[in-house]
Amino acid sequence: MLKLWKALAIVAVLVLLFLPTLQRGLPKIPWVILFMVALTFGISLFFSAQMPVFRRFGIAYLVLTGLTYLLAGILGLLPNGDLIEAEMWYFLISPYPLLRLLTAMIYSRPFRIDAVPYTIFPASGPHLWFSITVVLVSTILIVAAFAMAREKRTAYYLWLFILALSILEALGYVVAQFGKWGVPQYRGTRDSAAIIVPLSWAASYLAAYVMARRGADLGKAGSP
Amino acid sequence: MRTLTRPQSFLSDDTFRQGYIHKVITIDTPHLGSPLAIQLLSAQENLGCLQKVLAKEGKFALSSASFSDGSFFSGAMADLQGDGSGGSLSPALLSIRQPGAAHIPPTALIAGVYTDFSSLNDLASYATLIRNIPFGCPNDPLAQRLTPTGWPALFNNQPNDAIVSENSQLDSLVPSPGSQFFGYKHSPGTEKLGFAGPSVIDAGAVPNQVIFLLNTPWTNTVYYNLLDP
Repeated sequence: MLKLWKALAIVAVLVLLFLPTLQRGLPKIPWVILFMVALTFGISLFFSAQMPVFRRFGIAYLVLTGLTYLLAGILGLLPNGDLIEAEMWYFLISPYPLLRLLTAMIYSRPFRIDAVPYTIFPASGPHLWFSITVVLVSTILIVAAFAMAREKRTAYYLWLFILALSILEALGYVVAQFGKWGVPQYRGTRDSAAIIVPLSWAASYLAAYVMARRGADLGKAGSP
Repeated sequence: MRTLTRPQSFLSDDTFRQGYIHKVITIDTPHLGSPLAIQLLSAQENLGCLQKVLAKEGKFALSSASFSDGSFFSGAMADLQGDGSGGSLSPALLSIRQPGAAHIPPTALIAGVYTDFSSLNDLASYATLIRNIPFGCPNDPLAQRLTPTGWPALFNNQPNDAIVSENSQLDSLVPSPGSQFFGYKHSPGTEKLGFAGPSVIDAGAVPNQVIFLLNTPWTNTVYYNLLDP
């Protein structure tokens, strides 16, 4: 019964956040933080109350992370969804800066870091396979996050791998910014937001993973 | 398409001083500009949320471009500025409207008129997402006009295809039979802003009308206008 009241409170908060007054009155970052806290709290209600609170919230945040990337992937598959999709990728960790760097390192001779075209989102050209990959990977990660609640070792390893990858991708932004590859799309070369956003996400994923890992008994019978 | 300048070679004796182009068919062309271009380049939108949302997907709202060699070119969206009824025209549109400034072959005009503005309020519409956080711009004046009443008001509630008013598409001329397409939007790209339904460049009625006009003699004044002979 208590869970029901908590769920109703979450719904009420979400409704409030979408009221025009709060939409216009609240700056974007506090709004997004409130939105994510509400959703994380809501997702955490799916997990057993016997689980420590920090672990429940850590796993719930990782589920929300998976859902966020899943939405970005789905938008890429929808006809004409790319305007919103691009907006999403600018506020997530895009793999493109790192991919561009790696591609240039492999194929460009001589390699010149300033000649690498820096892209956060491919403004033109097909990226169907990218979206399909994002949908598949994020779906696996959502399932894995739920499996964490059952203390499945593989799920933890999978998230650890993705976590390492996301940190690497976030560092790709840093190289892009300080390496002066060129002007990031619509961001000045000294726009710190282009670095802060992915680094903040990577740090939050790491914190959530640590919270989800703490107290988890991976040596339990039945854990693969 | 209206910008057909008159270089010496174009109106040479080889073509009996008529040029190489036989006739022109314009589809949803902003002959008198579009107020949307004025709004998008206005000071209140400059480097604003909507411009940034568009830019992230590679759709830059430019009025000029400066190159590293020092050269400078004005144009792009700035050329499309106009209130749709002949006022506030961009210098580019003004210059080609000067008598004798351009050679315009016989021209037929096709106009789309969008009607499904109510879909802009659908919960899952891209327009709704553009108007609101987390993806959109709740404080951007132009983004906030992406509503069933706000968007037509951009065009003074005159018929339009979501981008250009019908009056501008028809260059203030009386529409010829079959030249108006109701329920059609400007282009597939407008779907990114939440506009639904067919566009004038989709297969179907509009291409059929173009084929009909191509097979209609340019001397038929019901369909062809000599805008600037």
